[in-house]
Amino acid sequence: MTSLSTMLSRVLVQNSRKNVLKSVFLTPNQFRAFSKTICALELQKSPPTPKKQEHALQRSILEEVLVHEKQKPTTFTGKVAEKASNTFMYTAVVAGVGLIGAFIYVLAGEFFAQDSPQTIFNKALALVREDGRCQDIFGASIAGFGEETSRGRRRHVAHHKYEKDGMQRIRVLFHVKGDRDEGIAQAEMEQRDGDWEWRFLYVENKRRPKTTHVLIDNR
Amino acid sequence: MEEYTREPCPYRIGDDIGSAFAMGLVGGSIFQAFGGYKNAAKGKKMVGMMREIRMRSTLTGVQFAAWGGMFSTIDCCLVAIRKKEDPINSIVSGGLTGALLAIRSGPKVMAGSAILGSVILAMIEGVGLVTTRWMGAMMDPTQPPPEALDDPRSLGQKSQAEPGLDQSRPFGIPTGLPNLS
Repeated sequence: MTSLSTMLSRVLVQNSRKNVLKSVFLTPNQFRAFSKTICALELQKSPPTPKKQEHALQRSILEEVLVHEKQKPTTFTGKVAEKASNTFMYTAVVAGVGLIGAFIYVLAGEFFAQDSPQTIFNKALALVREDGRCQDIFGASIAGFGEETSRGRRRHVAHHKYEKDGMQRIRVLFHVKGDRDEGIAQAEMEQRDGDWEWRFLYVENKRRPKTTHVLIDNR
Repeated sequence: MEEYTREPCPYRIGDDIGSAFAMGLVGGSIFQAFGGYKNAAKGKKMVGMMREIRMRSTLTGVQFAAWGGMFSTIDCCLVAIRKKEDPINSIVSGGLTGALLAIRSGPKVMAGSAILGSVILAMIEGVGLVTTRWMGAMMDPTQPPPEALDDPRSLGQKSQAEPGLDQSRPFGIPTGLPNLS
């Protein structure tokens, strides 16, 4: 064993060329096999035949089975039928887009109208947040929300629209919550000469001592 | 009583994930059943259909659950940040959910799915708004007009100018007896 290693090391020192090194490490048979595999590897490394690339551009068998392309009609009636169906489809698309537009328009009108509960809720909450006394009662940051549903949503603001003494009125009730306490805010707006104006806005807290703080009273 | 007053927000994420998964599972089963029936071999329609449902509808359910969970999480974050609950929250979170779930597909797809998500959520909100507002009137056109509310008592009697009521006398009892006649 030692003699072999010493011999090897001598050869290594004497010949630094590769082929010789290979021939020393391997028997001639092994070397032939080795060179064969090397050749095979080098052959594999060469770029794939362009045949494959052509196939990639073509449709696969699955596509040919599954995708059916309609052939263009050749007869006059066929052409007319195709045009008619195309026109019908385009009309349907245009009608759909128009419907969505109308829907959005109506919604925006509802949402941003002066007497919509959402608008009143937004304005009232802004007033409550700015008010110093409210900040004393509820805490520095006041959250506002509507009635809670079973699914944990609190987006719906309770409201009641009615007519009294010939005036349109809307009353809105929402909840406020701060760090210190929570409570209920009630607001009412009235239509006077076409404009919606505050009738009152007040907050009540839940914890004792219960206090009522009136922000606006235009009755 | 505490159950009613607790904040819904962190807990409703779990609820939403569950309900979205259930919805996706049921809807996906129905949807995949058609495809499975159509594509199955001739003698094995039922088997193919069932296999398709088993393999695909759970995936649909998981996708729905991902959407629902992401949506609810963003909604809760917005509620916590804005300290306000209104339809804008859900519309914005629908858009953000669409964008975030498509984040691996690049900015173009993200923008598309964000618009799609917010439009869908806006439609849902709008339908909800419209139904709550107009449903009552549509259900019963003969019902009497909404009753007039009295002013809340906690406001006090400030400038009560109700006609026919004299507030200076308690309980509306006329004090001047000689005037009764």
